[in-house]
Amino acid sequence: MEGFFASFGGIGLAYLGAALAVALCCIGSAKGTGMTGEAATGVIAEAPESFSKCMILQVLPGTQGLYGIVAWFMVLLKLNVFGGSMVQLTVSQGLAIFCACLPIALGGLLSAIAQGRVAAASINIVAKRPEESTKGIILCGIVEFYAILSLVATILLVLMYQL
Amino acid sequence: MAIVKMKRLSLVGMAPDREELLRRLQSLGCVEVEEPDGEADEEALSLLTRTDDGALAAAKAEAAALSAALRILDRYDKEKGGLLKTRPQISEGELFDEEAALEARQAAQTIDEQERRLAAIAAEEGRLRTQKEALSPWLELDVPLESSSTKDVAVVFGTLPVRTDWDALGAELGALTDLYELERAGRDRDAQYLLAVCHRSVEEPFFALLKERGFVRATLRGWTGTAKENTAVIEKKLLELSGQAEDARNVILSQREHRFAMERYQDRLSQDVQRQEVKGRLLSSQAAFFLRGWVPESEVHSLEQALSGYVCAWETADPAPEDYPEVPVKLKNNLFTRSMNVITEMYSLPAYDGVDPNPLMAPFFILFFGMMLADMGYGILMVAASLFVLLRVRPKNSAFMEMILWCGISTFIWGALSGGFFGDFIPQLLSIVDPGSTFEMPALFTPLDDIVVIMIGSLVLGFLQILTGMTVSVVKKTQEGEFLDALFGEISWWIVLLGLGLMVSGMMVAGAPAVLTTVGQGLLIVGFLMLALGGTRKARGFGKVTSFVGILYNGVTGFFSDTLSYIRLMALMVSGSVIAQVFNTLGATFGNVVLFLIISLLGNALNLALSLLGGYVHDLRLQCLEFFGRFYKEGGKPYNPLSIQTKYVDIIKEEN
Repeated sequence: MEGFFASFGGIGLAYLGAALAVALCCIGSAKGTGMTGEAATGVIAEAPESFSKCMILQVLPGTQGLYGIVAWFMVLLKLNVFGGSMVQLTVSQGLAIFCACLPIALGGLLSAIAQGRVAAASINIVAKRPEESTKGIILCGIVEFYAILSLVATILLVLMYQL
Repeated sequence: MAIVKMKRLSLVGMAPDREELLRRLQSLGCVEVEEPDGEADEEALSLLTRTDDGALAAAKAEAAALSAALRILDRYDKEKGGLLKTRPQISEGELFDEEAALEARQAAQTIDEQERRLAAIAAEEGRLRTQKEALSPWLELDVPLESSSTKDVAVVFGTLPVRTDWDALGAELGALTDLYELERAGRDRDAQYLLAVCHRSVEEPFFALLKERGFVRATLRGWTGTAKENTAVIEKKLLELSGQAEDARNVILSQREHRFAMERYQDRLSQDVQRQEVKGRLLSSQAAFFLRGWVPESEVHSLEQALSGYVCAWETADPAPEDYPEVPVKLKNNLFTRSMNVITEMYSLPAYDGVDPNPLMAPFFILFFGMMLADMGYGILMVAASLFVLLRVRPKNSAFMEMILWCGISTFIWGALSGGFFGDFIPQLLSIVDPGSTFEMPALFTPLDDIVVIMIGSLVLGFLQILTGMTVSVVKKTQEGEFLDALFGEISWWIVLLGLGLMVSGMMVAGAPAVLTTVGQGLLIVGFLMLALGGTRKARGFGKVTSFVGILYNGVTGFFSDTLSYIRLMALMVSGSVIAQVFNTLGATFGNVVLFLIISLLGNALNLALSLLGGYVHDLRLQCLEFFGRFYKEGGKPYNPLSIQTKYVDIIKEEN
């Protein structure tokens, strides 16, 4: 087992974590914005003027993808990828970075999907009571907090880890 | 800065003055007229009835007709002013000017007539097109369509199935007779069209055979001349019609010059509708009417002046506490705090006997918003955009843009503190121009390097806001004579928190006197005792235990999770700054200034849009849940006086 990981080195593990953070968050955001967009088409077909309200709701589950990018960037900064000479990692260091990426990877994935459901349902508010649509945005914001907590965990884990 | 004191207004006026008086009140814009409720049982009022003289329906119908005309005009007139058109300013007299109304009515009528004409033209065009379609398969036939059978010859128009084999059919028919002729006219997807001619002597077997092969007679009644001639006539008519339609459209378009009059009249009609709706709420007899409503205390004097010219009896009274749920709520705000109306109105206005949250919330909201965005560039953009809209477009409800303005200033200040200008735009740009550049933005702290400090800072700010909310609650309870509630609620928790703080710092801080811990422990015990004895004083028996457990659980989780919730300030600050950096770094990888500018500006625009949305949503949540939860008493009815509310024009007050 040790030999298996050692043959990849720590960098491979760290990259795996960073890549998963982006990829899983983006999958979640794509699902969330996707289902909201589908729901929005019905309303826009009837009332094209509600486009901007629908779009705001659709954007909300999209932030997790950005959080994924933030985590990814943090890891690359940590490894000094932009500085030219990359830090060489041991397997255990790589594993630590990998684990640090897990909160936002999983939290982002699942919270984006859950938020997408709320946003898609909030499209109903836009359809029936457009003047109350801000309340739908707030409901989505409450789900978002858990993506933020995941991001905080990942950022602190990455930044606090001494290479 | 508080909730405006309201007076209940009761007014009896003379019926002939009714319209005039309502107009005056509308112009004054400070009286909200109430729906009459079950109080009609009062002896005197039972003689009065609600009136409906059809004026409301008439005003609504006219308003609907006018807005339909405006919509039609919008459809044909592509040259609209756009979003940034400035509304014209007119006086109230001009708004109700009859001449402009006449102009608008005429324009609307013209538009309506022409639209009807267009509809008729479209129907006629449809009919002609159908005819043309029906003729199209016969175009190749050079025989007049009215041709009919004679004494010796049978002439029949008809169709055969598409897959008819002509050679086989010809052979079959030839076996029968040669006194026939089949002339093919054309074909479409469904059938082949033909003219069948034969001598009367073979008519019966000839058509029997054709019928077996799927021949169907076609009816071409009403046509004279060949299909080609008819089609030419139809095309000519169509051309004429399209000319007429163009003409009608031009007439509609020419009404564009009356657009302003129409818009102004539309605004005027919506005043009429509003006034007639209010009129429907009055109780009237033949000679008099009775109005019941609300007027702000500060406006009573101007109301008195306005009413002085009329024969009427009126009085104002303070509402009784049991009427508070009925009293409309108006918040009195200054330039700074009124921007918070966006949030208060969205959430729910405070109850009449509640607290106006705006002045308490404004500093926190604006501070937090700036903290989450924390970028000088974004701040400048927000300030510039909001100033532009406020000064140039003059929105009817300026609260939202004012909020953006204040938050923009705060964003700029936080950006200056944290060294952000479109993320790390300037250092990246400089390092492209001069690879040796090591310029860094001056900053008190940066989101990436001082993350722990920022996190603690956000939690402390959050804790401060929660304490503020508790303080408000204590003051409020004390004013209402329920000091014990405050003492065994918020104040006990303060003692617990203070004790906890002392104890922890006594244990953690090296060299702290031991007495600190002891005092802390003492306070902690006192606090818990107060909660246990005072907080549960309303419960009985075993209920005391469950009540105490409930208080502890809710209190501890409430404090903990509410405070922790403010960690989002730090997370959004860091993520916003990192996303900006990601785009800047991406742009810089090409080492080309133009590419860098394009990528970085696009990315920053995206980041700004998302940060604005995120900042607004999360700030809103912090205010509405964490802060309001501590003290807010909601449920006020918005104050909605009879007033002039325009959409297309701004009214400038006349001196009179």
